[in-house]
Amino acid sequence: MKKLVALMMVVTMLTGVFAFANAETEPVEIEFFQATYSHAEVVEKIVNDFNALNNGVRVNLICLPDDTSYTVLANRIQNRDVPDIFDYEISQELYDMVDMGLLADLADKPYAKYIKPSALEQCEYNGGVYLLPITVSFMGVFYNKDMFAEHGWEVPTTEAEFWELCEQIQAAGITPIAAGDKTGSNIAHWVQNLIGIYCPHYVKNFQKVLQGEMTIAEMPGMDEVANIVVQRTRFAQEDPLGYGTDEQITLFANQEAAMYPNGSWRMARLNAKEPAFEYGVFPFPAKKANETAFMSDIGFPLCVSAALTEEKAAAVDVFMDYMYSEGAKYFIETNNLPSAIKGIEPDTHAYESLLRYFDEGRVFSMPSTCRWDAAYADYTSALQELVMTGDVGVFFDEFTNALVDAGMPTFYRP
Amino acid sequence: MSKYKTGVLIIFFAILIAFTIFVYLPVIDGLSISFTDWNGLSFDRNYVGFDNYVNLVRDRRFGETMLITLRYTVTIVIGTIGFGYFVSLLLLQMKKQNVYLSVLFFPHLLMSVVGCILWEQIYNGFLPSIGKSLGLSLIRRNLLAQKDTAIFAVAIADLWRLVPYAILLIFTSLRAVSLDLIDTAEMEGANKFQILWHVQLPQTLSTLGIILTTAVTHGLTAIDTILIMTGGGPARATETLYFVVYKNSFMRQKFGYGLAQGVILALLSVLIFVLIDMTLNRKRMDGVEIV
Repeated sequence: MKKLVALMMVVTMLTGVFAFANAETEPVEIEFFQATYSHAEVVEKIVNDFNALNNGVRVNLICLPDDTSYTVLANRIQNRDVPDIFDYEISQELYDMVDMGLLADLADKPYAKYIKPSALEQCEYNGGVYLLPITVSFMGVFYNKDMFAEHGWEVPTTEAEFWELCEQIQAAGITPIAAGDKTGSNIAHWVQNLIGIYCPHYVKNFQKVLQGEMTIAEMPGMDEVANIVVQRTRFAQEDPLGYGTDEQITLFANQEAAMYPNGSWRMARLNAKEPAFEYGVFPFPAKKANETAFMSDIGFPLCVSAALTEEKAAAVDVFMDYMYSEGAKYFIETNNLPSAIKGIEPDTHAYESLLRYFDEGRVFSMPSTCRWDAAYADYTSALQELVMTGDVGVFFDEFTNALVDAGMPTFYRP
Repeated sequence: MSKYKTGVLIIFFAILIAFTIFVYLPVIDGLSISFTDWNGLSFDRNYVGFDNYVNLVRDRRFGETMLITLRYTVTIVIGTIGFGYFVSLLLLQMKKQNVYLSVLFFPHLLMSVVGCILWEQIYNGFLPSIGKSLGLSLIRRNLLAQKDTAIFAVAIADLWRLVPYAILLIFTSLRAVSLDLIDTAEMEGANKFQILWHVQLPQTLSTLGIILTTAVTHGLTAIDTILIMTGGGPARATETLYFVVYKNSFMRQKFGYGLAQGVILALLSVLIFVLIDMTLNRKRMDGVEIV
């Protein structure tokens, strides 16, 4: 009997020892699906640094090219195989995922306290917070500082000054604007910025378009938006529809074009292309200087799956705490993007002139976050048609059809 | 039953089961989704009957999409067979044929993304600079950026990879044509074109049938080149039916509708292949000997 008890004690002790040893050598593995390819290298470095800590959690990073990643992610979500952590934009699908209970509410997580309240506010939905950002994005006109100084060109403060500046640049034999309209999102985002500036009450009016009470042609300010696109095309390089994002950045970085309208999310690629290049950013000006504002949203927001085991959820918390402290510091400082994290402020000299707009609240969210994702592809095609033909009437019809054909039940910003 | 026959039956049924699981069941699932309003994400799939198919017929863009698909497929078919045959005939006249064949086959080995990037640069810089210096208005602008030329420009980039494959097959087939037949035709006074038309072409008809099927399949289902080079643009100019299936399913969250288009595409493909098969069979019945 004594022998049996002794044997059982030995077995129990050995099991405990092996279990402990196993815990030390086998970290909890979690998956981080990075859908936005443009920050691939920075995120990889953060994940590698985290894994090097050997703190019992191992992050497996998956990063695919942009177009592929969203398709793969959509497929996985359809099969309820939601990655443990992934980045996603505020969009119709995101809220659908929340409604289906696929995402964890992060409102009470300890790392949520790192986020600036203004940024956190944008992430609220139905009383919860289902994504947390690292940066704040903005839409602006990037310009070549040296070129401007050399020719004595001033940063425009009104729309009229902007076109006057374009005339001067063109007269100097330089392409005023680098356009990359082949990548539909480039022009689509920029035009949304214009809609925010020129179309008052756009949310309410888009709702009317959807319900058949109004057409895009009847929307106040839309005429001006369309004419600005036509005018911009006149000052862009030849065949803007033959240029995608990379070619657009190359034109600007190689000093073949003086200005480059795009979002802060492209800064990482621009910096990588020509690290020593001195550029500044100004907001696309409204008719009157005091009406100028620009589109700004949260950047690189991360979501967490709601279907995690207790062990995995704890491991995700460890990584997220790192991601929103040391990781965020590296992410923001490397990309020099406006910070959504308290206490982390990057070198802002490139977009210093925009900071006061943030302070004064002269920013607005991307209109397409009013649940028009299903219309986005057709809206982009309508814009490409406008760039190609300059036919404003056709653009209005196509844009109206894009919204109506999408058959969205609601049109609102939750 | 002999052991051999039992083995064959086991292998056959194993293949049939694999096909059922990986091909037929997904096809049936896809077909059933085409009768729903599923958005690709939600748990609910509401049955909508033939609504998606009715909407497809009413879709004002459907005709335009079919026309783009037709242009693309016809360009691919004519280009693959035409260039493939022409170059193969030239090769037959050359010495060191295998060396040339290897060189010509090289593009087929490259990844399609490499070819796309290469052709993008050709369309964006190389061709316009030639067009400008020689005053050729057709190529002075980027062909990918023009609505009328974009689909042909994409098709040419695809042909660059397809034609070498066709050359390999046609050339091998042409080499197999009996020299006695050609010598006899020559002795009877047939010229080069007559030899081609009455001897070589009929003898290589089977190979052409294979290439035709491959080219049609490629034309109807190509998406990678379009996604990389134009993303369906400019302004929908390169949106083929297959691309639209992808766009509706993944970009517009209309999975049910996208799959209804997919079903139409599948039926169209079957129809075309039946027509090809019937044509080749008729040739056989007409007494044309096929290698």
